[in-house]
Amino acid sequence: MKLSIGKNLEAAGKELAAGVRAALARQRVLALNLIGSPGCGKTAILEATLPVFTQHLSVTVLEGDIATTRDADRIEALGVPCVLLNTGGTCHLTIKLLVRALEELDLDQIDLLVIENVGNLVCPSTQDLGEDAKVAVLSLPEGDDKVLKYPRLFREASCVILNKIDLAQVLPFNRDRVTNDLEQIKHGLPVFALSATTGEGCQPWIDWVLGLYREKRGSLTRQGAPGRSLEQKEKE
Amino acid sequence: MHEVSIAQSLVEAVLREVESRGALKVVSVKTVVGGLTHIEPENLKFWYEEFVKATPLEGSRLVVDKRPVTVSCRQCQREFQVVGTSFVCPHCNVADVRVTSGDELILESIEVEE
Repeated sequence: MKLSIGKNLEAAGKELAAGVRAALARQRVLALNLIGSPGCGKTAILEATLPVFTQHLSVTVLEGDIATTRDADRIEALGVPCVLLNTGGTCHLTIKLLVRALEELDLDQIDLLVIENVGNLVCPSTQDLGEDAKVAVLSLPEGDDKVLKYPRLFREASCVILNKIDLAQVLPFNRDRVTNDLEQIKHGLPVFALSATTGEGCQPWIDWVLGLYREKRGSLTRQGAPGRSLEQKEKE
Repeated sequence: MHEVSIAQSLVEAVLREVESRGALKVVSVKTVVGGLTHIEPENLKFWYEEFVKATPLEGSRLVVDKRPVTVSCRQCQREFQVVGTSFVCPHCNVADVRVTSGDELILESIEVEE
């Protein structure tokens, strides 16, 4: 005898992610989920650009790591509030871990929540953390062939950061190959080529994030939610 | 890639279903797995067999129905199947698509002894 079930095995996780998304929308918090290989420069990009974001926005970072406080220490050294999420072996942040972390935070006091995922090009891309945008980080030393090798991340991403362009002279990296491969996966995906070390190329990335924040805040203020505009906040 | 945790939640879900119906003897379990889930059927079966050990499901068979990835082009609205890694529409030559199927992960049915 056959019993028809039709149960989605990811339903519980999707429900939690939808809950997080709704809570972030209510409090007008923009959440970014940074995903990339170990050593691609996720933390370095935050070190280079968080000081600019904190001039305009109240920022909190959720640092995902299998073990150690190393990345979290680097964020705290910037004076930016940081919550460390040690996964204890798991290769990506799970929605359950994120929900627990958010319970400790006062979302009302946060404008921008940056989630730095565990260094990994595969598993984090399959997890919906309720974020507004997944940001794929790729760096020149990893090679120009990675986009089609890890297509899911680039399909899920809302933009790509191409880090370590200061090494372009010494590495055989073909940027056109990355652009062409991205076009096969997702048309028109913004790519920010930058160097977290020299600071070159960081401004377009900063502008993109601030634009997303304005969009999120604007769409909600139009619905009558109280809130200061970004311009007002910049004056404060 | 996430076969371990998925096999575990699958076994838990099947146990809940059969226990709520009066502890029926399970012959096989059918799942539907989309091509975008990054799930490798053989690895899922391996972990399923591990997790059913010493449970009422021991000896049951897992069937994985792997579904292709189908997308709809936002520009011409045509549907097409994704082969390999390219999401480029064969008509418009642009990868601007919405996934219509291929991300499912479903416990579809359970075959039990009469």
